[in-house]
Amino acid sequence: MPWEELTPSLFQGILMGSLFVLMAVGLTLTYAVSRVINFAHGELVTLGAYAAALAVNLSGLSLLPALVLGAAAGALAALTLDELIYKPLMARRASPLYLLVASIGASIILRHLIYLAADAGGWLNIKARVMVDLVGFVGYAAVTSLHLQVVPAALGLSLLLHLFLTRSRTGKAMRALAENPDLARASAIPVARLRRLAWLIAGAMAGLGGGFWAVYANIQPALGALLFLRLAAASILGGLTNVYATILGGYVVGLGENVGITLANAWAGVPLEFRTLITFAMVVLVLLFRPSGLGDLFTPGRSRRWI
Amino acid sequence: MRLRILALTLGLLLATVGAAWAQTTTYPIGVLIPLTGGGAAEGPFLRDAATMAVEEIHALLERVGSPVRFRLIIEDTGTSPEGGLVALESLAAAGVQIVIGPWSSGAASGLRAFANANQILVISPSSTSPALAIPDDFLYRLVTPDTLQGRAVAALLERDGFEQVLIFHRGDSYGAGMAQALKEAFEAAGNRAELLAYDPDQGDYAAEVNELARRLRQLGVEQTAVMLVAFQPDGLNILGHARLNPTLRQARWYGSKDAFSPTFFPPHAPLEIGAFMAQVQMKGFFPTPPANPVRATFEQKYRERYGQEPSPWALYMYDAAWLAALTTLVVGEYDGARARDAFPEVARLFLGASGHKLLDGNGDAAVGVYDAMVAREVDGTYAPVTFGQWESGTGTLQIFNP
Repeated sequence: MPWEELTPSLFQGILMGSLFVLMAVGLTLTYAVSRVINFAHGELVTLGAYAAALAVNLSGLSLLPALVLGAAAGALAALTLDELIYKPLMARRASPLYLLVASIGASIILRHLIYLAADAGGWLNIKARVMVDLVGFVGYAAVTSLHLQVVPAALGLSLLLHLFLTRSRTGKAMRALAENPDLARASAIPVARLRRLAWLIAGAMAGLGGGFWAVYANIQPALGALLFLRLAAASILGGLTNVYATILGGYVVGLGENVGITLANAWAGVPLEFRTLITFAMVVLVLLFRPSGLGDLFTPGRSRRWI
Repeated sequence: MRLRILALTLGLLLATVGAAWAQTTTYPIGVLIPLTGGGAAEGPFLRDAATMAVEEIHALLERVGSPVRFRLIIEDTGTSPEGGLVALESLAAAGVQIVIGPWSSGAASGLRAFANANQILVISPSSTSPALAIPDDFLYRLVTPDTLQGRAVAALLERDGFEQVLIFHRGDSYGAGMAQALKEAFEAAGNRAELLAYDPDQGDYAAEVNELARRLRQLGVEQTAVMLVAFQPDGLNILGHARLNPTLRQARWYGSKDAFSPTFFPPHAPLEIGAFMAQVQMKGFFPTPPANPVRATFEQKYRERYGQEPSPWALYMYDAAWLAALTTLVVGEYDGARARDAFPEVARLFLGASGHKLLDGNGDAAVGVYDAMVAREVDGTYAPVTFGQWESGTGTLQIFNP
């Protein structure tokens, strides 16, 4: 296959990977800090997407404040979920299975509340009225203004998160909490405050990712549910606990789905309908042969790294 | 004493209300619509149309002193076979034997066997998959199947000088049915059609669009038409990516009927997608109901009440609700099996907002006129404009506004 034929998939994979990074990192962060696999994480993306899209379409806000609003909506919803559902359940010593079922329930309730609001407002299928401009072509790939916004945002925020976790006192305390909650509590680390902060960061990044998605494509109430399995795949590739590996996982999923299906279709005639199968094949292989995910790559010699 | 008078008055009032209640017979009509999934944008139009029809029926029944009333029970199909089946099971559990909907062929394919087994009359306003054109079942469809639309598009492609078409379609009952219908009709005339299916349950179709562009380059951009068979969410996403694709920007595009529903155009869709559809002059057909007084009255009432134009499918749903009620009244009791037997004759004599409803041997609308449509800029926005007509009876394509 000539290289030009692969360029659209490559650029699309990088864009998707960046969006998945923004959306999936929070899933890993909340699991690492609070041990909750939050199935409602996809709905945080949807809320952020709707907040940003409606801010642009109804209030005429420009993109940047609309994205901030999307992030704020995601953060607020994430904190509410934890405070109203997960924290009280954990206080009653609910088992991980109960927490999982509660998060599935929260996801369904949130999604249907979004449906109700979207139906009433006539927003069942909308897009932020922000024109995505063509910047140029590389091979057959179109490079758009969105590439120039999303990719730096994902990489920049990943770097900021890294600096926060490794250089700041609060970030180091958060890592300690993720590594050993009991020891953190005994060491007078403000567990409740750090947990709130983790959920706020997770929701904000998911909301920001959703805001970018509303510029990228049409949004609908089921957006988060449709994306969730991919976000979970990125997080599983990160061993569910490692932020850096999740960042890598986001790009692996983005590129795997796009470049992978192009190559599989061109060389073996694999139908396009099997695109998501590539992601889940990767997940199954990781779970079978490297259950701790790609995290080992960042911490050779240690079985698992938390955050 | 005053307390006794009050109690007596209340008692009399309750007795009167109770007697009136006892005299009224209320029959449930199940309404299967897509409020989620690929058809979600159509759901509210369909719900509103059914509601308007039942209100009109009630006004008429009240005027003539009939004790019969109808109650709509709305269920979401999720635009999927599984969703359709679950929704019909819920309706059946509530004792429903007469159903209007579902909107999509996917949902219809999922519930058809259950409807047959439980003798539930199902009147779909819009399912068109040729795979569901089956005689002697409990599914009736008020629109002609896609075998006809396939012939119409094939005729248009030939008229436009194409000998090759790349059909990019939903990988579901509707999409595969429409794609196959077009392929057969187009290849019967010695042309070549290639199919490229996509999974309709994705949030994004960028990878699929890139593959479409690659296949188009292989076949030759100049000599190959692109036919899109999509619903609104997937269709808008695909067109959003295509407008930025260097290959697909140069392609000649055609679309299946839903691409010419208002939900594909502003204000329901982004302006830039309307602009792209107009730029590539996207063409196709919609089984537009012929103008008649019933349609005009319905459209006017709908506009007054909801402040927007009804989707074309709302006309068919309005007729489905009227037909369900009329059939029940003709049968004289609530019985799905007897209603199913009476339905074709009631439909034959019916002229509704979506036209005459003569059914063929498979229980589908027998005749249909397809408006040839093209996306154009109209008064500063973008809209489908009729430029011709394909008549199913004669198979002729007439262009009157090139």
